[in-house]
Amino acid sequence: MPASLSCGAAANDVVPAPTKTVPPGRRRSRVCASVALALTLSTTSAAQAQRAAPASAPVKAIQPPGGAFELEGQPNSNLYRIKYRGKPYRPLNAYQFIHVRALGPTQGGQPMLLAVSNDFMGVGTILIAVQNDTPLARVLSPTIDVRDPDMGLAQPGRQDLLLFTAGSRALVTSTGQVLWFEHLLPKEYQRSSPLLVSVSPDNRHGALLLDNEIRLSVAGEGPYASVPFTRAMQREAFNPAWDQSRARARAALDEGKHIDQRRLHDNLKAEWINRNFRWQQGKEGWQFIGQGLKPAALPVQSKKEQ
Amino acid sequence: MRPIPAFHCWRWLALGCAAALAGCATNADIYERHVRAEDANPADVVLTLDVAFAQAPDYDPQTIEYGSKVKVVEYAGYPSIDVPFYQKGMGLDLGVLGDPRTLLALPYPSPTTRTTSAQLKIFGERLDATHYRFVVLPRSGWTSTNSFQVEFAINGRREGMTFAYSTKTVCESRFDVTTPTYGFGMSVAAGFPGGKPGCLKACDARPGYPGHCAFFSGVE
Repeated sequence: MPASLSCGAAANDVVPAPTKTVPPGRRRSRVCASVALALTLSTTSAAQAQRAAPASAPVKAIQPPGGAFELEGQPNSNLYRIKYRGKPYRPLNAYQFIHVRALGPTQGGQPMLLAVSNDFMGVGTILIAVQNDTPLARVLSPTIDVRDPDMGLAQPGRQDLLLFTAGSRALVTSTGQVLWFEHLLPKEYQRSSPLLVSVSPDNRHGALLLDNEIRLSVAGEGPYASVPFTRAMQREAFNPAWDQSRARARAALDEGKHIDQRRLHDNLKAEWINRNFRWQQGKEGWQFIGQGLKPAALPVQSKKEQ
Repeated sequence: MRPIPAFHCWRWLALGCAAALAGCATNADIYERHVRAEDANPADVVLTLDVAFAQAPDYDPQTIEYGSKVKVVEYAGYPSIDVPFYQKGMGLDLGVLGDPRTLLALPYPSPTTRTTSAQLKIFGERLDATHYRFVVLPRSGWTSTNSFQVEFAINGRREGMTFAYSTKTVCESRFDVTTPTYGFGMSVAAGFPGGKPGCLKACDARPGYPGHCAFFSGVE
């Protein structure tokens, strides 16, 4: 204990010095000071951890998400493990998580959790909900990125809807309902990967951006209409989004953060589409209207034929 | 034409490797064996699983036959269950007694356990477009992990839902689940042989990895 105290005192002596005497141009002393500060912080936190828990129990419990769920962290790691009813729980075989929080709604008397796994675990953003007293996970986003995890894009104009554009999935945050939208017709092959850009107000229909059209799809069933928003129109419309995403990614990099510029670009596309298109309920069900384009119905195969 | 020496070396190396590996192939059993639920002996059945899918899964049955001496039959194209097994066998590690630098070392074989795994793929019996009956079978000489995965596809979207079972505990073995990747709904009911009680639980493993349940201790 005395050792760490004296170390902290020494570092505290060092810290104010550069701000007083050294001109702002001199980087090295600042780096030294910050290293010293980091050292102080780490040694004191380590000392506190040691004081709090004896050497036999290095694992400490933190931020309970509620219900029968517990989180378990380790002193020198920002990764958590999830426990359910006191037993380690590994949803989809992932056991270390960088981000776990309660979503708000409950299912089966237990809170629903939004979790992002460590990148080595190979599972992106998932939603954990309890069914019949068994926690079960649902995939929300396939994006595996620890530095900038995909926490969803709040759909403009909606309070309770998160779009996971790359996974074609949406999460209704007030109920915990996960929507998945199929973009392919039966037996169809599409080269372009879809982006979920908008969900209708009734949470049943979604708009998927493909590289030559926008497909309208019923959640869990399949596409029913196509909006001819062509490649040329998309190039023109999304040009500013590209510049904006690049500028934001560069600004983030200057702050020392890494962001997923591709996903930012995709999310800006989704925002543009939500500003320029709107959902309208008509005789032929929900349509996505904008830019003077008329949706054309796609041949829908009935369930019986399959 | 004389082959260039490098190729000559490669050929001998390949032959040597093949010879070395041939000695290791003691277990001729194939990793994944395919069975149809209709062909199963009712006396062997460990568990019967009745599944009602919310949407009709793809049904395009195919039979693939290959092998000249031993005929191997494989099936594809409709819902099946994967049952993982493991085997703990004896293997030998080479230990060394003494210091090798003094040339007085004595190498000796030391026994260790080795775990190998295998799978049984059992294709379901189609009752109608959405109702299937699956059976879980044992594999002789292998130990079961008491779990299995229902595999199916809807419009080519492949999905898997894993379950764990136990005959030592009793619980409600009839429930609804939502699959992890696409959220397909299915309601399942398990029956144990002789109408005995048992327990079936969804176990939340990653599709494609049956036997790795979300909880270490299986069903309770």
